[in-house]
Amino acid sequence: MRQFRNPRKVQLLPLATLLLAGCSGVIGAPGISGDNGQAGPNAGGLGAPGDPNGTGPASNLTCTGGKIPASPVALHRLSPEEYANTARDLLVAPMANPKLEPPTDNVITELEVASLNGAAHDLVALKAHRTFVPCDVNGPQDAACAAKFIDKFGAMAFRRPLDADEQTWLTGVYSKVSALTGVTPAITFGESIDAVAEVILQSPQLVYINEVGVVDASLPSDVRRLTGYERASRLSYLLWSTMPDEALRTAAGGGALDTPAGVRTQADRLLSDPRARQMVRRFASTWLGLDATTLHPAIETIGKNKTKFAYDTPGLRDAMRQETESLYEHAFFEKNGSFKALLTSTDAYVNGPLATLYGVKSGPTSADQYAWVTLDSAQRAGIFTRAGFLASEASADYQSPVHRGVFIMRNTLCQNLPPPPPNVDNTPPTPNGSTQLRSVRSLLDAKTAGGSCQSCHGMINPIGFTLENYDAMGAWQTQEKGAVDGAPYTVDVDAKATLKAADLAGPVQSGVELSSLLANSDDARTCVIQKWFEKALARTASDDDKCLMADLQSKLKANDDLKGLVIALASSDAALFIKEPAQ
Amino acid sequence: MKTINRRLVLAGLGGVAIAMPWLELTHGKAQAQAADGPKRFVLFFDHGGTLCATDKGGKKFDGSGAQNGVDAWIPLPGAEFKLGAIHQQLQPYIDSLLILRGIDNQACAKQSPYNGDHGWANATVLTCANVTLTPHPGDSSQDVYTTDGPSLDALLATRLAQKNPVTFPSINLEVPAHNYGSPFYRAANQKVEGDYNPKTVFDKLFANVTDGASKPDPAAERARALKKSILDGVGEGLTGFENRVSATDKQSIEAHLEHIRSLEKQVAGGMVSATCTKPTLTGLDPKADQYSIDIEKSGPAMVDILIAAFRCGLTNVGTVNIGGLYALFLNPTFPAAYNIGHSLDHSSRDVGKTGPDGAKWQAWYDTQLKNRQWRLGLVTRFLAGLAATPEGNGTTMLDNTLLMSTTEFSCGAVHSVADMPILLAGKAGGKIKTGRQINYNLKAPANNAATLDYQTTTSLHNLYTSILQIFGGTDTNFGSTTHAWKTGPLDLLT
Repeated sequence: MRQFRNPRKVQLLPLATLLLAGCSGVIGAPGISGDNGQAGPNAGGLGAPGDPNGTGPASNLTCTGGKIPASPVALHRLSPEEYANTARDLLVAPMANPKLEPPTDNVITELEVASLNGAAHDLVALKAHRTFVPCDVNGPQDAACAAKFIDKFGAMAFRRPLDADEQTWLTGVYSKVSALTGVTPAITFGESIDAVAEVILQSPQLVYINEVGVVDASLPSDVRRLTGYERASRLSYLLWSTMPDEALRTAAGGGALDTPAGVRTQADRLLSDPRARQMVRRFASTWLGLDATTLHPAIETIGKNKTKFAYDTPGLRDAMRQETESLYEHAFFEKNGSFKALLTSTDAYVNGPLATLYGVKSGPTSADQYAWVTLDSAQRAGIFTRAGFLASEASADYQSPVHRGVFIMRNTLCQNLPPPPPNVDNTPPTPNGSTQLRSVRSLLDAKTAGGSCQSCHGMINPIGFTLENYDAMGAWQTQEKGAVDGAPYTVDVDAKATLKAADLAGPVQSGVELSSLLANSDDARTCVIQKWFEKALARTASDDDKCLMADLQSKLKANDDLKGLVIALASSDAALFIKEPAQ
Repeated sequence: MKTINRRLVLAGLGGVAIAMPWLELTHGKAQAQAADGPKRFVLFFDHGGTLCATDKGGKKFDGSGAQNGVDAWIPLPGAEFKLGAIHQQLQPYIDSLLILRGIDNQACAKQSPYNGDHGWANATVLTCANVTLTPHPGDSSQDVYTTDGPSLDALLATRLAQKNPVTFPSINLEVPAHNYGSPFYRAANQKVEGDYNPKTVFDKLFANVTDGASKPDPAAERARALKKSILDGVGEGLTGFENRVSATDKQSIEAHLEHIRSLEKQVAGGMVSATCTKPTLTGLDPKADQYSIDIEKSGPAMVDILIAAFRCGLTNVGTVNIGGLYALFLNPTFPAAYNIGHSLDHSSRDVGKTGPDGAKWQAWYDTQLKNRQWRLGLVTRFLAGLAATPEGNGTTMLDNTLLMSTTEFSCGAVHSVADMPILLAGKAGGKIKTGRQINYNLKAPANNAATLDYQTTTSLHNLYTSILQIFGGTDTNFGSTTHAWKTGPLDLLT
């Protein structure tokens, strides 16, 4: 899965090449569903490619030359957030707050396993799992009752019914624990149930999403249809960041997810739930880098000059995240998923401190009071003109055109930028009396003018320069103030630049104009598709995804609908089928 | 240790310890316990390179002060072994120090697209491995570095645990701050992240340690039996699950299973009755995550915990992974524009006399020095703890330990992986000759006079081969031989 890396965007084959490829494979033959190869209600269901009510591919495969665009999938382990949500929903315990160590690599670390072990122990202490016990948990040891608990709780936790091996394993755990010798007093039935629950809560079936699919004679031999339960998990972790709810489990068990139409119906339902809003908000924060990493503090803790920005408070920092997340949510749900609204809207959800920072005259006045307001359209347009992004991508004292430009290049245009060469001469020129360099812009210009710097900074800097009107906190500025050797100075801000990055070209005057260009950029649309693709499918796009990506691109351009994009991804063949990995 | 014991004499007479020529017995730095070799290995790693400024060509300055050039890590010029600015605090242990220079991280230099960036440097600095770069599956803007072998500490942990079984084959700790990823790998493609919360570590390490007088607690024994059963159950589940995943994913499940086995071993280790004293932890937030923990307190606490763990015989190997920090507790008045250590490192040339930020030179240097000294202060604290712990035959734990302290770059400002900063400490059970420096720079004058000329044919491969041999290994190389100038150990170490 190492395609499209430099640059990281899809290269489309000429249409003629695609059309020349003929259809192959037998589509629409009787299929099987359910789980683990069991026939489901739609077994024998037919449907030509593109028939939303058949069990075959969702697309008509014309573009792909008859091939189902399926790719191998890797084991996916739940993120700390997904695990916490799952634990809360599984145990129906809103107070549960397990904290797993974040993954730092593809292979789980001992630190993560230890935190998982501790989390399972703490969750069991809540005793919420005991509601799944169909007998008196304070009664004597009861193997039959334990087996029923295992079937019921296990199926919820594993997101599908247990198979015989798993039943044997877990009933074996119960038997061993209940028969523990050499301990005083003897292990009770309740403790035995607790032990089984503790195993389940850290079991690989819960912690990992392992998709194997079902063999379907109607499909090419290396392609498998995901089971209804696997599709349910995909939908729910994509759209809710948690385990499937009862309706989704019922749909999976009843075969309703065997068809593209059934998947789409559930995707629509899930997206209408408040949990989907929370997912979108988290997507926004993750995308904009507002969370802490080992390289970058969270927006709540990033260091700012306390003297220069004396008005900075925790309430303001909270609002920076709230507003950013709310704007994405607003565009996604209230503005018909409009990508353009995300990048150009003047709507803002602010509290008192943030309203003050934006210069809103009639808005909330306290830190705990939030309201939607309209910002000055000459100063603000969309998410890259808001304090969350602008303060996050700035130093403690000044705006950072490099950080802002690099961020937009990498995360909004998906351009591959190498790190700067370590041996580059980055010593700024010496200021002198006649050509003293003052502003951030003039210093950066001088610093990156020579050598090979312009090969990257020629693209980065202009993007960042258009945002010079926003200081290190994201407040509007027309002048930049500073000091050299204790002598204060003031220079006018210059936010004019000539863009030449990706498909952005030409002169612009401001961040507002930059935002407008981004909103209409094919490369920006391709990039947002890529970001959602990677979230939806937990992998990078491959050659097999070219047709899907092209289709999504044309639809997003025509419909300007991110919500539609997510539904299309969730119900795409890439999400419904997998390819058997090469062994 | 100036006592010549019988064992040492026999080693010398019989030529068994080839690393112990007679000469060494007579000049005051003779090593006791020679035949045994070191009992434990400790690795302190801190991120971002050491304190140095460079010239515009990327060469290190020579410490002469010209153009504000400085290398505060290297010993002072001259024939006598005198510690540099960062190392001053180690003066009480100077006889137990060995500073190595002129050793490159060739695995990084040869594989990285250009000399070395943080990711490549971290992945190779302790592994000398072949590295594969892949995109993160859920975020192609992130890269994942995978190695084809373990880091040095992990290999030694496995070997030492075979000779001296312990509850914790390795104790891995972290003082979290800005960093580009852990350099520690327990095996190919398996990164190690250290525990960062002292409370968590304390509970894990000392749960089963008694003071030797307490009677077994039946309730604790019962809880332990239950926990063991639960871990057994998880292990069985993983074993079954492994058959359900693709061949590619088996490695992940196998690693998960090994981690569960490790937890089982900790539980099954039983009560440790030791005469050691558990450290006292105060003022720490037990719930703090890696982004909120107070490292001013957690750093020293981690060192104390590690010392106690060695005294209690809980492990043979310890690692401490220290982030690249800019800490306000060290210099609250420093200009806030330099808000992280990483920026400070890279601004080393901006603050030269000829640059516009020349006025900031002294503040920059002082801050950088405080940061580096604070990190090395953790090493110093650790050495003090070992030195204060008798270990029989008139030795201390410091005599029987080998500690290595390093970072991923020599000069962080230019990401240089040449002339890596290597500090060895502890007398390694008499296996190395300390109280000196060795410079493998072929252009370095014998009297250690300053020079900018540099050429070497020695890499970390050779150093780590030596360390493996010091611990009794018969290794002729460490890591991938692909990128080494030469295989085999270092010369001159003994």
